[in-house]
Amino acid sequence: MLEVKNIKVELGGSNILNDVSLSVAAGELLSVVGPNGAGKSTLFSVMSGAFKPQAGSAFLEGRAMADWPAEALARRRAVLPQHSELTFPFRVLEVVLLGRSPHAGFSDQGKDLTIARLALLETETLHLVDRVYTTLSGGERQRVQLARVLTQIEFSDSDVKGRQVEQAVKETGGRFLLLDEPTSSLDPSHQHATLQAAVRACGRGIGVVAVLHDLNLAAMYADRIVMLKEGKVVAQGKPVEVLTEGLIETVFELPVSVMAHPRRGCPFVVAA
Amino acid sequence: MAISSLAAGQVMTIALRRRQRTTLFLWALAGLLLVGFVVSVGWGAVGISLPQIIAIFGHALGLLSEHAVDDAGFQNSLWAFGRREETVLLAIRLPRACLAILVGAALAVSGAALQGLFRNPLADPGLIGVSTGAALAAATTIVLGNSLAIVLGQFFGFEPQVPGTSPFSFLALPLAAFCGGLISTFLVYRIASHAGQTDVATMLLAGVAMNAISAAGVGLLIFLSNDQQLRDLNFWMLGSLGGVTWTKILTVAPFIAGATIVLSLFARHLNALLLGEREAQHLGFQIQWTKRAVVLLVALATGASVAITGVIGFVGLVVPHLVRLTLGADHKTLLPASILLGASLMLFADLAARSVALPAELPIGILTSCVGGPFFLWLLVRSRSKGGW
Repeated sequence: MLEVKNIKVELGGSNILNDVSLSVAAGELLSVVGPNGAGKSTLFSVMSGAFKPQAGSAFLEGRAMADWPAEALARRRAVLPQHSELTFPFRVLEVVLLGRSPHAGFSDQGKDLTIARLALLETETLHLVDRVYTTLSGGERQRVQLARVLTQIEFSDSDVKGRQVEQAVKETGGRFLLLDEPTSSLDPSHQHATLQAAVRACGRGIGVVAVLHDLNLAAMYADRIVMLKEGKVVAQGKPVEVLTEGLIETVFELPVSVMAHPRRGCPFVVAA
Repeated sequence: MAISSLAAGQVMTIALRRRQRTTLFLWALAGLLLVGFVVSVGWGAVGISLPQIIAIFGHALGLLSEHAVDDAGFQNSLWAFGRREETVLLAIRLPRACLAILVGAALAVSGAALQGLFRNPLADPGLIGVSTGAALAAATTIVLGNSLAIVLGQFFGFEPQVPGTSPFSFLALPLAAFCGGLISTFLVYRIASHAGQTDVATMLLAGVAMNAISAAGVGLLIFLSNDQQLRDLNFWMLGSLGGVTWTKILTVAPFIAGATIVLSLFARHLNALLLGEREAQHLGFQIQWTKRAVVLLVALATGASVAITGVIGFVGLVVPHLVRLTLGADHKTLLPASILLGASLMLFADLAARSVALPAELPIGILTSCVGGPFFLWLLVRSRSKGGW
């Protein structure tokens, strides 16, 4: 369980987050949505343990983030940033293997390579394995970074394959993947591929938090949606409960029509 | 399934091929260093051949007894050497070559580490203020040293010694330079730190400002100095490996070698830092601690090098670039390769510095900048035409 309790963040005199509480369970995909400036990124930083709020705390498995040893925490939760600053000529394989850094001493080269290959396969970037990262397109970079964070936690400690998810979670503890707008530079097919990879990660007992701007992606793939506005949680629940015309209009100040998705039956949002 | 198992083999092969290439390259660099060393200690007014070098080392290490050396058969062989060769090798060339190796390795690995820390390929060891801080302190010692000693002597009530008579006076300049470099770096680091966090961009700017201030101070001291002081000052600022003794080397070697070796252990941290500070933190690295350690180690290695040789430019900037061009950005190979290549280049640069203008000796700093500057421009133009770094 990854949770934040009553967090309050003030930056430069303005309230960024005000008394926000939420939680993600192992195997659950939680999507955070909200207009620009709603506090999504700050909430994301707090949940990743990078930012300490003025009040309240973030907890992983009931233990405050600050109390986790950095490396042990890194084996439990991985964070995909919106943008990557990497400008040095690493090979894709080297970038993905950086995800194995917190496992140094617990893993060996063979295991690292196996995991890296699975992650590259999962993000459809295996063909890029020997390319220089800086020569990739924006979307390819984003997928390689996703592969990197997947290697960091996905297949770590023990492979869940062939066992019950509950059993694996009980043995290894929960693992969490935090994705900050993971689809921002992707084409439509890779947007879905990325979220499908996230759903598969959930199937392996990993809890996923994804900040998404595309409400329809959230509607299709999220188990739960948290809607933020001006630093407060306006609504949280199943997609059908949160993505209603009234709520979207008040939060995003955009008139919309919400219908049922013709094939999946989940909410489908179009601008009115 | 067949496709993915094939891919598994491919990934293995790619990783293995890269590793083989890296290993080969590192061995080649080690070979280059060895060649550089032999040529460097053998070349000069007194030529010493490879067999002679081996024989002299054997003799010095006690593997070759006096009796064997005096043996007629030995004296007529290739291995024969005279007292003159022995003295030149052991007292002049060897310390000089050792210093070149130490300083070249230290500057190159410092440059590589700082480029990683700043995520900026243009960083060089001087950027954190260590070189010019050392230069300012050295200039102060050269120009004001004697007056300062008299003033301090009156203040504390002791007789200042005539310069050059104290057994430790030869250490005054390197010591001052070393401390100056560390103080300057410390100031830059403090300015860039706020609430327990160090902002590397601020540090870069503070380093630039500190360099400008120190340069102004050096300029003022040049203005104040007399002819002899000006000569000493200039010589120091241009950098030279000449006139080094075993005592001097042994004084700084622990700092340089120690800091260089410890720096090369930060490969994993620097790799992660290239992703961005926050990403490195998410990967479980203690970023603030890493920054502090790397800056301190670079200041120690560079400060101690500069203290003895003066300012030698461009080695720390160019060497890591050369390695990155061939081996990529992974610090696990970049750092050791920079050590080997930096040491080799410094040996060859010193060889050139003492050969091109015989019987005079060119300051090595001029040479490295002369060659390094245009070479760096060529790199810039080349990488621009290829589209970025």
